Amino acid sequence: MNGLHEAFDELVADVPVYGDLDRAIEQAEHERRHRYGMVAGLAAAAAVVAVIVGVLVVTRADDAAPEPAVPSPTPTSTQEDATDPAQKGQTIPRGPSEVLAVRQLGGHRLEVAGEIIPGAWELTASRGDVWVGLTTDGEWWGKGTTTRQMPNAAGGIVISQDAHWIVWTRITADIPGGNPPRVMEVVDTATGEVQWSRSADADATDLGALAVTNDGVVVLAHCTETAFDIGGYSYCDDARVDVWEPRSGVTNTVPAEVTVEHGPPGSHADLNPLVQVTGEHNGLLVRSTTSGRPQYVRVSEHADVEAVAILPRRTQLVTADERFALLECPGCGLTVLSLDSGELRPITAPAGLNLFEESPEFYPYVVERDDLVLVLQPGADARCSFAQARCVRIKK
Amino acid sequence: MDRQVELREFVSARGAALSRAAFLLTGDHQAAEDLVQETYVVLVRRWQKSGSVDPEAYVRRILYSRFVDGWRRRRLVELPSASPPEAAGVDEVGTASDRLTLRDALGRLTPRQRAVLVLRFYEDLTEVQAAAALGISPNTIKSQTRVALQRLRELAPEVVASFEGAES
Repeated sequence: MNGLHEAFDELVADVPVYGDLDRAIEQAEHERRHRYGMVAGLAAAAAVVAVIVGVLVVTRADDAAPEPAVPSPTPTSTQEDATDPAQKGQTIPRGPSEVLAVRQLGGHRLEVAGEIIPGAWELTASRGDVWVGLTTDGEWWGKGTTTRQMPNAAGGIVISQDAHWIVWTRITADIPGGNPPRVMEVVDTATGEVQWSRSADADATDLGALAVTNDGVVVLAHCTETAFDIGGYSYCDDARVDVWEPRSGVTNTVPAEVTVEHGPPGSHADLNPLVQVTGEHNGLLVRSTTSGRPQYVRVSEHADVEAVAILPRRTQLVTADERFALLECPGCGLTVLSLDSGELRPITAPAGLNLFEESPEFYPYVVERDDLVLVLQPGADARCSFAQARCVRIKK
Repeated sequence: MDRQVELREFVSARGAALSRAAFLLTGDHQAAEDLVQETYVVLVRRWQKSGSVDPEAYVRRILYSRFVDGWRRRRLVELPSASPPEAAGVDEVGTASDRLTLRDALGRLTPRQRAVLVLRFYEDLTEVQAAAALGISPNTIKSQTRVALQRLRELAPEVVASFEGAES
């Protein structure tokens, strides 16, 4: 496609240099001063906040009442005193995480449990010792150092929390210029064998599987409206989120909206399922509207969807033990919400680790186990104990 | 080296390339300027906070994701058409005509498809690098590339034929 590159070059031949760095610095500085002003104001209100910090913010799923106001906690040293005495003195492990046993190293090297996989790799997904990566001769997946060629995959590839299952959608026949048939397969990572499969022709093409539980139950995007683009290719114009239990074939629907953004007529729509994998191995944070309060649900081994709690709008995740949630909002940093007591506590980070980074382009959190959450940052990964509301750096 | 000096050096070195990419994405000088400026503001915020950022990858991530997300919010206008130059030789007319047709065709793609084409065939990124820039999977890059090229073939067959002819 050098020709396309040259055509692009012609299009931009007369483009001037845009942007004014000085103005950007000025604007960023102005915003920074404004933010610090807000933090100072919060600190001054500490006494007031302390009185109402125990407000219970978690409601049961049948509570349709408006979201109660969640007071912003104050980042003061007295927070250490608020810690559960049973937690005091406990240490947070600093060793590498087993959840991230596969690491992308420099020079396109891939390390699995301390061993380098031969070849040049780009890691695209991993959980435990199961991983998916691209190399010069296509897409592969592996368990430990055992590598297997990935079939002609289309749509999402997901791995269960215990790394027992990997699910993909693959194209079963190559039909040039057509709309090839697709199948969704649940693969046992221990054997590499396909355990269950189903036709995926009715799934949203680009999305497919969204999650798989340790029970092998699959959360997927089911297309409810198919359309054809100007080239005659089918695409999904609307979808819902389903749960599929492969042993019995039972299918249920998750109360999560799929937002749709339409481009020019004849172009593919962008689908965005309001579903986030978090909490327990079968936990999901789902939203029925983009601005609505998220609901934490569990997917049973029989594909039943159990509503557990309605959480504050700014919930980012739920811990694996389902005892804590992370709340985040612009200008007030990260806060731990106890789902048992409704108590709010700011997270304490070690010096030099900025957990309050405003970076909407990235989602740096990985639910590890119990109350532990990993925060991935360039060169400075951290492990946070939500029970202790503090973080430590992970040793490399 | 002073961090602000580093930032200025980076922008000085990469500003022109960012501007060209922004124009290919938006197809409009004003929108491209806004996109680059918005990208600089986010970059400065990050630059002030951390020294560990890879500016090249980060600024690309900002630019492209802001473009796709910003389009969702603001629904940027379709690419404007322009008239070919009046006094042009035969070859020049042909080139200008192709250019306009390509611009029009690009404007009829979805923002994500446009972004994928620019990343893959202007910035010459791999599928994995393009996926990282847009925060989507390499599989989506593959499928969106296929669909986007197919749409270009439908919308501007002569232009695409000339690319493909050049390849053979």
